[in-house]
Amino acid sequence: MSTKLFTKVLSKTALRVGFVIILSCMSTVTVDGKTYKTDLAKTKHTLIRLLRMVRPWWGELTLTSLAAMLNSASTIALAAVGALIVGLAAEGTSVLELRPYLIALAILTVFKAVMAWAESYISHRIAYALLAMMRSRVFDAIEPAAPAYILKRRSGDIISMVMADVETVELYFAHTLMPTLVALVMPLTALIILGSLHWMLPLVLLPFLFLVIGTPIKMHHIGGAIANRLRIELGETNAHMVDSIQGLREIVAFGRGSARLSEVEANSRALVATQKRNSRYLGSLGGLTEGCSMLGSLTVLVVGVLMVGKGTLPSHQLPLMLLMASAAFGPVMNIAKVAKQVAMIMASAERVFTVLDEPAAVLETPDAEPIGAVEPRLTFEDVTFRYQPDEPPVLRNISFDCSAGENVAVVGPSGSGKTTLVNLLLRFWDPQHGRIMIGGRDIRTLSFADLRNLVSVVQQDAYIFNTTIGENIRIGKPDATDDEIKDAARKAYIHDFIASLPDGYDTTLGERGAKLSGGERQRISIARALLKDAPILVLDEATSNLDSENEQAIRDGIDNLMEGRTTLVIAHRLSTIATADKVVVLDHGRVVESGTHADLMGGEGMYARIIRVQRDVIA
Amino acid sequence: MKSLLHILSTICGIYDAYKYSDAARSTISWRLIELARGAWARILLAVLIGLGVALINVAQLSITGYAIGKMFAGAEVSVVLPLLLVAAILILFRAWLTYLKETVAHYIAAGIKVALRNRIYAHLLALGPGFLERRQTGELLAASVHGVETLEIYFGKYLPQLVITLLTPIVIFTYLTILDWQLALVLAVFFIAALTVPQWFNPSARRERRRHWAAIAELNSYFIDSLQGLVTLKAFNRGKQRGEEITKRAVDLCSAIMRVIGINFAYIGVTNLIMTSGAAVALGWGALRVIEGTLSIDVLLIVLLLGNEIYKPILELNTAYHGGLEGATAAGGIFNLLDTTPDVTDAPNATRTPPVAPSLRFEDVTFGYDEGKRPALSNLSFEVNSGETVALVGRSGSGKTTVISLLLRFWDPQHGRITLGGHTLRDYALDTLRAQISVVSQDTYLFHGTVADNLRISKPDATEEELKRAARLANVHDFVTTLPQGYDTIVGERGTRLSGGERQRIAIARVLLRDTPILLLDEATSSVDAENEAIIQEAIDRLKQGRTTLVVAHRLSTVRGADRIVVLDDGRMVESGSHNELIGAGGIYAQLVSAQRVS
Repeated sequence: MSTKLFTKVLSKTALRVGFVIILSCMSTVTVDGKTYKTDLAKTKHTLIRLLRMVRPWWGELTLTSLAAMLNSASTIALAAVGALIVGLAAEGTSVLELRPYLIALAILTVFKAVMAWAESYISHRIAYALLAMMRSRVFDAIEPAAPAYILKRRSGDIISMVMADVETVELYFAHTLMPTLVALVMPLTALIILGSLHWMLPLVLLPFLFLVIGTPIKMHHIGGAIANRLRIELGETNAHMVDSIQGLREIVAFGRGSARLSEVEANSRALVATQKRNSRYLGSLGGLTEGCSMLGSLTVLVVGVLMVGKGTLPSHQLPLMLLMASAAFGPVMNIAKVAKQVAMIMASAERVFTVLDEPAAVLETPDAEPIGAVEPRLTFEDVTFRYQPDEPPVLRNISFDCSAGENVAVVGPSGSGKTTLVNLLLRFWDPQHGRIMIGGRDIRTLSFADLRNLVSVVQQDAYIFNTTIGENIRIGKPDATDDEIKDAARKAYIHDFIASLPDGYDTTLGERGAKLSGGERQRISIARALLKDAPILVLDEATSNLDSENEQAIRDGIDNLMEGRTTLVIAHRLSTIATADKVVVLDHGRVVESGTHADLMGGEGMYARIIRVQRDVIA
Repeated sequence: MKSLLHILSTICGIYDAYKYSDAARSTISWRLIELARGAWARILLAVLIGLGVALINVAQLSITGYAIGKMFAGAEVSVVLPLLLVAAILILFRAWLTYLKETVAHYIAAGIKVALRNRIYAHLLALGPGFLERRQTGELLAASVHGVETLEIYFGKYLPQLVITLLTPIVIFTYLTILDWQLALVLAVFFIAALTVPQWFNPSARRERRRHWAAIAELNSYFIDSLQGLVTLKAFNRGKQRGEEITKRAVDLCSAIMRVIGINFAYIGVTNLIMTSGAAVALGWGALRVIEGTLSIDVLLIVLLLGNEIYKPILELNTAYHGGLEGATAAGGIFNLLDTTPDVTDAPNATRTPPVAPSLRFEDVTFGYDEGKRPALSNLSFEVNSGETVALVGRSGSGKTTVISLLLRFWDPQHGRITLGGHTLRDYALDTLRAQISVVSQDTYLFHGTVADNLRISKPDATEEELKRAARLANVHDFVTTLPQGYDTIVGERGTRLSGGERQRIAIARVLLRDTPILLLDEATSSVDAENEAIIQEAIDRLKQGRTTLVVAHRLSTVRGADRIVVLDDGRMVESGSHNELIGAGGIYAQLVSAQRVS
């Protein structure tokens, strides 16, 4: 308990020191002459939250702090013992008198190595355990917020956040906390030892210590501006290169190669010029702090020499004095580096916390009654929905129903709200008005598991996971036997294709299923749905990239799938629409027509118009 | 030099985390050094500065030690103070050198980076879009975007430091030998031990490090996979379970990393222990000899102050090590890219004279992307006379798009020939050839820039009037004027995103501006809805006027209007003729048409 308290106080102190440094470093950032103030309250909040996350590792934290302090103590002790030995040797003591010092030197050498090892090992342990925890927390936070969260962002941004930012936070505990602690303990110990030699010595050293700490802080406004410029230019250069590569086809086809190449060079030169400016800044900072620290030690020595000259101090203490003065600077010089890291960590942590705080798009009813056997009837009742409060509704007062075993096709131009219907049915979002019912029960009263077990979706762009084909089908039913998987694959007309692959069902599919054609991906998606065997089926059809041979196989697969199920089809194929029991035509989020294919073709409405254009498409 | 560097880099374990063989390693090191050829003088300067810093340090510490020794001997303060003044001047000089060291590092890398980016992009242009189509862009971007930046540390820090680490100890030990050869020997023995003993850990450290990388890569790709497939996971109610799986893998990763770190830290710990022991032994033994009277106290003081300084180069090399490691990996990727030879190059006697007539002819063309696999096109022969429109029809995978790629010479056929105006495509310079042809493709890429910039890609000196005229003809002008800044609206990945239909109309406007005699249309109706389709069709009809046109056709209206229809199946031409002829023949074409009809 007492150690716990001790660590708590200790790390809080360390944090507070770190915080003061950050405050001074980050409070103002100047970019292109404009000065921005960072939100200090937010930074503090982030720090506290990070600290709260390590609560489970208080024990390790205690150990690593202890090891860090013992490590710095033995560093100082080593220097002190060494200096004493030299001093004693100069005075001409006997070998016998020197022996305890030599033994101490040997013991300290080994002790220091062990402590240094323990410090880094334990702090990394905490850091990596934290990393593991954050990874899973991030996923757990994104999962309920998807797909709303994902749609709002570019996937590259999410991935870089999840990968890079979480790893940056790892630095927090492995490379920041302990150096801050050491930067506090080492100079203090050195100052105390110096003080014990003569009270004036710490006073001589202190101004230099402040200079070494203060120079980077004072110079930060210059460095911050350059670093910002650098970041922006690096981003521009990279984005331009990405653009140049992705658009290579156009660049080559339009003969703009050499023009683009000179743009690449101009960007590159601008970037390099800023990098040079940055290096001049870093160089002067390095030179200044190094010069200050070495001059500081030398000044202490000069004062010592003067004292020896006056006879107020014995000469054999001079080496000790010099080594103690130098020892005070080492960790302090790291502080600037640590402060920079902390600023980086804070930025990353804030992004990670934003994800962790992302509200779930839809909440599960806590006390949902199990649904049991239910009639697979689907009803949309006066549903109105908008994705953002300030946007126009995507669906307006949609009502239609789909009786058990019926097949209803939804058609309409792109942007008419067809896919939104599916998103609402799966409860990726909830409508603002009206309700959706299955077997007469509002889907909001069902548990997620019950709802999603009732509904299968064959998506337009079926996602293929980076694993074997077998596992990709198994998504539909995790405990399916191999025979069940093969059976589903046969019914989806994909078995023969899979059997023709070198490793059959164990063939690994590449990133985003790149090795499969659109038709093959869709048939895998059908196999998944067959395996899942839910009473309600939603088909988000797409004819893009499918040839008619494939289409026949897919249609046969879908026919197998639809058998005995209530089916809602976002329809693109004439054949599907023609065989539907009912067609619902959407336009701008409203139902404009509904009826059978024959009824609607008889009229002069939107449906008849769409069909006529569709007929004009071949292969 | 080559073998020396090789040995040193092997000692420092530079490449061990990566899978390169010994031969590949030395090739990469050697090529990296060749790359730095223009920067030799600067690298030499960096080495001299580094040596200067080390020497000044030794000098300053020796003078300080000597001064303290004088105090022990009871010298006057007035004798000692000038010595310390010299030390202070040396410190200031060293601070200036430290500044230079940092700047020169960047100056070395700057020129190399600019040159390398240029070389990479010029090479990509030479490789052409055909190369990109067969490759994951992620890899390429990693090499050409991040890889180049990574090399900065390699050239700026790692390379000079390698030489400094080699030279500094020689200088220091020579100096120490002059002072007292016995203590110098003790320190030298520990120095060599610090370099070599930790190598015993290396094989297992290397193995563990590889596992560590593998585990990280595995978790990352699993996580990304889960995120990209999240909607599917949720629809199948597998989100929660996937989360648990991620936790499990993350914890596994954590323990894998801890094994590596345990060994790594043991490695660092042993190095540190040997270094500290060296200083301690030299100090203790020196003290005993001072008491014995066989060593002067001045030397002992110098040893005390220099003790840790001797080992500094090793520590600094360790820091540079990471940079070197990343640099070598990045270099591997970059060299791979630069080593890829372009499939298609200008023939030595290629002409820059444009063809007389824009007629196209395929003569017995056979082409396959990979050797040994079924060719994408087999013995294909057909022609498009000047001013004609020919439609290519067929199932997906029948080779339609390949025909377009061959016409643009993204690849050359393995057999047969393609002629333009009676001459083989290979007779024309690539620039001349591509200046004759415009493509409206299925997926039009928009660059980061304004709408006007994107239109001007095809004619950089087009006036505003010309832009608007082309946009009007392409039926995209009205749309552009509805954008917030009109023609100055930024579009592309980081700007306003346009729909497939809008992008396609911009592509048509581009082609109208460019006004080439030959037009290749890769029609796509999939992403375009009915309303849009009519508008696009109208624009395309205007575009086709007076041009030789080859269409990969999806729309019945295009096909009907074509002078001739070529039906491809499995890379072969199975039928050709007019719409009515083909319908009458009742072949594949007739099947394709009827498949879309409602029964």
